[in-house]
Amino acid sequence: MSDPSARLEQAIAQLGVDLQPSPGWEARVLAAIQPRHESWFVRGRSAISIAALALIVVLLLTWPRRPTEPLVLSAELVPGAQVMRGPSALRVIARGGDGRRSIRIYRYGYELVAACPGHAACEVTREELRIVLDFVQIGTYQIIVLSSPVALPAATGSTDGDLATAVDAGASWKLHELEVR
Amino acid sequence: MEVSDTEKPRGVDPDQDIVGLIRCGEYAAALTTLMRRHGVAVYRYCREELHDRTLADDVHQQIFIQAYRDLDRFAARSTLLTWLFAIARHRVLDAVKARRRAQAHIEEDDTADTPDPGPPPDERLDAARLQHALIRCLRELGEHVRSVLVLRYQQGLTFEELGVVLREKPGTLQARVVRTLPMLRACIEACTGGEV
Repeated sequence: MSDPSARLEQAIAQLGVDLQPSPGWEARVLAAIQPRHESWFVRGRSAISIAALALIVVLLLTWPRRPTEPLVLSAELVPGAQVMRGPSALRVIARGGDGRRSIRIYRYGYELVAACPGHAACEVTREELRIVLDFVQIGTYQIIVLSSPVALPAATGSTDGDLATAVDAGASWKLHELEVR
Repeated sequence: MEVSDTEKPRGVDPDQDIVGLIRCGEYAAALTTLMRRHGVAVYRYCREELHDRTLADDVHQQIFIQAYRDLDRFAARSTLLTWLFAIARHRVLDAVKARRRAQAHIEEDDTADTPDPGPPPDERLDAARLQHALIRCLRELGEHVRSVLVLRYQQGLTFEELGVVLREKPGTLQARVVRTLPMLRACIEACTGGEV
C-alpha cells in the first residue's frame, strides 16, 4: 500500500480486529434483563377494585388448566460420592415452567458439560429435572434451565448461542453462574 | 488530504429485521440478534476507547442492557447501528469520567490499564510497529478526536452517522478528520522514525 493516508486508515480499521468479548457475555446480559416478578403492591399498582379481585379469584378457582408455575433453578456444589477435599459434585434442580424443560451446564461459556434430559445422571420426573455431576472440574460454570411449551432447540455447546437460539424460539429461561475453585 | 464518506444506501436500515422484531414487541429476540450482529464491533470500540479489558467487558454489557431497556423508544430516526453506537458513546464517556474520579483518589492500577498486546510476532515488522505507534498516538489525541477516527475507520460509520452519534455537524467532523490524520501520521513517524 503506497498511499500513507490509506495505510493509516487501514491501520485504524485493523485496531483490535482479533478482540472478542469474554465468553458468556450474551448470557450475562440476558440474565440481567430478566423481568423481576415484584408484587403489585410493591410496584404501586394496587388500585384494583374488589369486583376485579373477586373475578380473578373465581377464574383461578374454575380455570380448567393448572397454571404454569414460575421456572425455578437451583444449582449448588455438594459433597460427591467419592471422598475428596471440598465439593466434588454439582447438583442442579429445575422446577416449574412450561411443558418442556431442559438443564444445560456449560463450562467457560463454550464447553457443554451436560444437558438434561440426555445425560446419564439426569433424572426426569413430572415435577422436576435433577442432575448431579460428580468430579466437577475447576472453572466457571453457566447453568441454564430452559422451558417452553414447544420443543426446545438442541444444545450446541455455546452458552451465548444456545441461549439466544432458545430465546428466539420463545423459551423462558433462568441462568446461574457458579465458580468452582 | 482527501477524506471521503463511505457510500451506503440511504433509507434502508441493514438491521431492518431487528427493527421489525422491535415493532412486534419481540424485544428479547431483537436483543439477541443485536448482540450477535454487533456485539464484537461494540466491544472493539469499548476496548479502543477504554484501554482496560475488565472495564470494557463491563461497559460492553451495560450498553446492551441499556439498549434493551430503550428498544421500545427506538423511533427509527437513524439506523439501529447508529442508535446503538450513540448509547455506546454515552456509556463509554460515563466510564471514562468515573475512572477519572476514582483515579483522583487512588493510584492507577498497573494491571488494569495494561495496553492491549500488540500484533503477533510473525507479522511483518512494519505493520507491528505501525500498530504500536498508532495505539500510542491515538491515546495522545483528545477523546473527541479519537472517537471520530475510531468510529469512522474502525467501525465504518459515515460522517452523517457520526453526526448523530457525536451530536455534531457531519462537516465539522469531516474537517476534524482532515486536520487530525496528518497529525497522527506525524506522531507515528516521530515514534517509529520511519514513514507511514
